[in-house]
Amino acid sequence: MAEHAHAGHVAPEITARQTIEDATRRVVSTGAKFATLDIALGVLGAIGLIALVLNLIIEGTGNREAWGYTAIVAGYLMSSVLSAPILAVLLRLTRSDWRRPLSRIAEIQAAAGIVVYILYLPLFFAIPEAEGRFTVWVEWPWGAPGFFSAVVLGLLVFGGYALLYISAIPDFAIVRDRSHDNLPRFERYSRLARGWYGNLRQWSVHRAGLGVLGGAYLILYIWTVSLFFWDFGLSLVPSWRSSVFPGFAAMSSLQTGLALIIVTMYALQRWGGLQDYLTWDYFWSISKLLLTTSLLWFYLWFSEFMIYWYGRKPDEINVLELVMFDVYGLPMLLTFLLNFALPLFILMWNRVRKTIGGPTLVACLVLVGTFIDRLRIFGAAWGVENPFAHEMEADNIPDFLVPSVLDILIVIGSLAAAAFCVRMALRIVPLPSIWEVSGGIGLRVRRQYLNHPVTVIAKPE
Amino acid sequence: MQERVIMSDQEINNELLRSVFEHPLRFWVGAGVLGIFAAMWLISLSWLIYWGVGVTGLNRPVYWGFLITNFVFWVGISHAGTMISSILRLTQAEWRRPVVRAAEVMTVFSLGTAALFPLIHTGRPWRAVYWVFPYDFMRDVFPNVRSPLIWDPSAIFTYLTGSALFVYTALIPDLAVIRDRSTGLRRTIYGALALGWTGNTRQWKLQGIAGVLISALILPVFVSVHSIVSWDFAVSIVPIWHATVFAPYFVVGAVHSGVSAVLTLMAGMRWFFKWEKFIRPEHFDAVGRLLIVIATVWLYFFFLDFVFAIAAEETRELAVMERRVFEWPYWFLLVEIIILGYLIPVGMWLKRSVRRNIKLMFWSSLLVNVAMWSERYWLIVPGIERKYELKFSWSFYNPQLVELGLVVGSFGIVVFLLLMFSKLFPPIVLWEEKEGQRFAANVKIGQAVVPAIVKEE
Repeated sequence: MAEHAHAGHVAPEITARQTIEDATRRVVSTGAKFATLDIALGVLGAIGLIALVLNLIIEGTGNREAWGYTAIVAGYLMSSVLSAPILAVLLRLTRSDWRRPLSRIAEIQAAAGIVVYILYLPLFFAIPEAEGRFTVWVEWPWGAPGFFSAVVLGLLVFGGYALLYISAIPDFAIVRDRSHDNLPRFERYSRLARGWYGNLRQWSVHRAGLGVLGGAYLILYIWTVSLFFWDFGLSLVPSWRSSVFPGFAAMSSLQTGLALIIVTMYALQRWGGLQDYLTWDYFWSISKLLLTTSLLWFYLWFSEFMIYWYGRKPDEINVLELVMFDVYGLPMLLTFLLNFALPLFILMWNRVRKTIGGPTLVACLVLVGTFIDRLRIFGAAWGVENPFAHEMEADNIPDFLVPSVLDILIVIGSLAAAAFCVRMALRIVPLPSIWEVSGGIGLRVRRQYLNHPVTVIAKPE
Repeated sequence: MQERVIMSDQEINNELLRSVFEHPLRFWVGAGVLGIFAAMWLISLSWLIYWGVGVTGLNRPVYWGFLITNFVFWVGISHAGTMISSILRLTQAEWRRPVVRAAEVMTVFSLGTAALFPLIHTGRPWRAVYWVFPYDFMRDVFPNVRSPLIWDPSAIFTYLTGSALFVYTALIPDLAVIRDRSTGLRRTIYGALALGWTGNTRQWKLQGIAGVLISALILPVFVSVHSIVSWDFAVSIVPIWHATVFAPYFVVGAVHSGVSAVLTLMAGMRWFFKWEKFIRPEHFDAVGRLLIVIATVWLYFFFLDFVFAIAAEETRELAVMERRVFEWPYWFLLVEIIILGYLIPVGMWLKRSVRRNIKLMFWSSLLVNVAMWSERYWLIVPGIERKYELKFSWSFYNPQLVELGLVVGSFGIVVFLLLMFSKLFPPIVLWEEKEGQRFAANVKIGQAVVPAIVKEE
């Protein structure tokens, strides 16, 4: 555990100069410290890609069951890596002071967006056409849902990269200005910095651009998750007409994104040299959000369960048998424990929230829980034999979707590939965000108030 | 940007206790006008009880009309108090200070008013006793405890009790200030209410702990109240009611209308009591920004509810949706809900200059509540007008004058009660304002002096 890992400890004063030194060190001299890890992740990612291609050759896109686990891991990564940047967007919109060392960690997860897109490519062809099914594309003439899903997801992935890039431009300029002794690096970062000199107009455009792009990403993400969880999950199960489900998917994704950020924060704090930046109070602040999203997770889940269970319509009870009680009963129970019950009972204690280990433990539980939840949702959906049936009959409840060897390789390879992309981005993009952290330094002062030292935060906006 | 006016404790007491100790003409005029509305409500109620529910527009198969719509609306408004006080207190939002008490008190009065409407709706309110006790001991006819109609009063009365406790706990230090400024009987009464408050360290610590505890404990109640109200509808299999999104959709809608009502109240208090130093444009700006988010989430759930109703392409759902979208007056209500509930107000609130314009904020918040009342009606009535497998007839609902009197009168009653409260207690929390003064600071950055806030830990 790092030296600043307990509540009440005031972190050492960080200067702007120190922030620049720390953030640029990683991109200036990557070294061989994590080379083994990077190679292992790269190899596993390549194996996953080969397994994906083999699955396409062997099974084609006609056999939906063969793509169930690809849908599970694609849905999982969409819920984690693509939702993480939302935290940066939300905290910027609300002008939270504690966002500063966290925002880049949130944005950099979007680097794995390409993995999500590659995973969805075969699914766009494997998903049955919209006509005759219960989908948002009511009697849409052409291309639904595959084509439109491909366009929407492409926009989202591009938006994630754009957000990361635009946010990092001022920091690229700093690396450029410190690379005069290394011409290739100077040229590379000059291109990335796009003539940034930090004049007032550039800052004004930068702020406006981040605001607009962030808002657009937030809205696009909510709609994309809603659409994908409907099209690639819910709509394939006859009688699963739960209007709260897209909202549940969005909330669950937000919870997973937060968990991913916390785990990344822990890794960077423990092994990445950011122990002076990621102190316990940042874990404390973000853990409150994690607790809130866990409560909302339960609320939205219960809203669905309550209506189906109480309504007692036979087809709805059959859906419950599939996704909550019988076939996927154990995954449901595990999800309930990992995404709600344990986070609640661990994070309800302020003393636990004020540690680094407590929120990290809960974040790990949530990440595992969400994977199991995606197994429940997409496993149930892609195991259905006839998605065009109007009602779920008791005789037609599908069995648990058992993974093949290729499925296992695709899942492991995809997770490794996502981690590999983030690792590669860390070699290019300075971390933490220099302009945000150093900008915040001047706005925080410690003062004596009666007998207590307090933090005073300036609010210039 | 903070626009705080630096004031001493004495000045804050003097300013905020004016409503209690002074008796301006406008108070009596306001009380008189609102009293007329309250009288209208009482006359309508008497008429209904004397003649029975036959004087309303309710008839087979539409048994839920204006009165239940109004009940749902006022329960929704009551969500403002917890949203503003509890959530903003827990998140330490500095701008909560001048609006917390007004929001909490509005919760109590609107919830009390809401609770009256199901009773009135029975036509014979005294029969409500059967909700609690068996209909008939001899024949073992008991209320169905598994019905949301039984959970409803439990949730509402728990919320009412919690909210009243919330108001009272925060009121204690202010009651002591009034006590110390009073003489005679008034001093005795406020002294008793202040529970021996002297403002020592231990009392303040307990007060702080109580505030945080009640805030945290009331949150689940807050969510459950409107969820249960929504389940009155959603657990049935009435077309368009049987939707899993109803609970969060109702809660978010409630917060949307409740916080908008707080905005209306803020503008009203600022104008009526001339509290420009306390309720400032920065507060309207902050509430406006919060409302943009709430309204957008509400629109998202509205969209989900709407699309899922038509995407299933079930005959009975489509029949009701067709009526709600294309037939008078429902098509008009739908357009009104979207335009007044989202497009116009959110379009306005996106501009900072509008968010800081008190008059525009007042009118835009009123628009939201016109839309939200209509939305409740649009959600409730069309589904039961139509025939489906468990009903043998269909018909239209035409609200009658007596129902209109009760609905309009209820607005008069709530505002009248708020005005009466302001006569007895300060509608802005004295100690919150003083604490805010102490938390305000300035930080010098370069040549500029920037307003700053002490971080609460």
